[in-house]
Amino acid sequence: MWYYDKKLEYPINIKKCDPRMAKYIITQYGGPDGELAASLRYLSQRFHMPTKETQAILNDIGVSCSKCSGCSVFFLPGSPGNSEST
Amino acid sequence: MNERQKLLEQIMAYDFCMIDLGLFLDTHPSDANALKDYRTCFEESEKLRKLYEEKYGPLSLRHMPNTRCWQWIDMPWPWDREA
Repeated sequence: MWYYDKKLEYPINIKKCDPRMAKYIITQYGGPDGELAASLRYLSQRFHMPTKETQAILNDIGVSCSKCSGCSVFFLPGSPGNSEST
Repeated sequence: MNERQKLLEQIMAYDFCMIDLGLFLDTHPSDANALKDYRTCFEESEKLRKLYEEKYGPLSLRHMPNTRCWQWIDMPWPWDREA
């Protein structure tokens, strides 16, 4: 079960346009080894963990990963959130 | 950064600590220091959140005030740019 809080986990303040970095971030978010795929893996693996500690940590990391880079993509160059986009 | 954003950043800082301490406590569930720090962050975060929500509006759907209008849609989202 997820709840949305109207705030970020960590503040974002992108000051300059950097398309190369943007490419890294968007791949890290949605690419084959990205956070989205990782979070789903953690959340499936948690069911089979043998101890309560490891079940809990996979649950909590899985939740963190699915949200951590979601908002930053919006602030990348060329996206509507970035005032420097052209 | 305006007053609202400053207060929100303080809440974010305490909540970030809670996430991090929570991960640590998952594998060290009886660490007294971590438990104490978690408690402190939780209490501070709750205090500031109540203050924020009284002043500016709900931060989550769980704390929606009983008003005639649904305030959730009025508050700025994290991706809204403010002057």
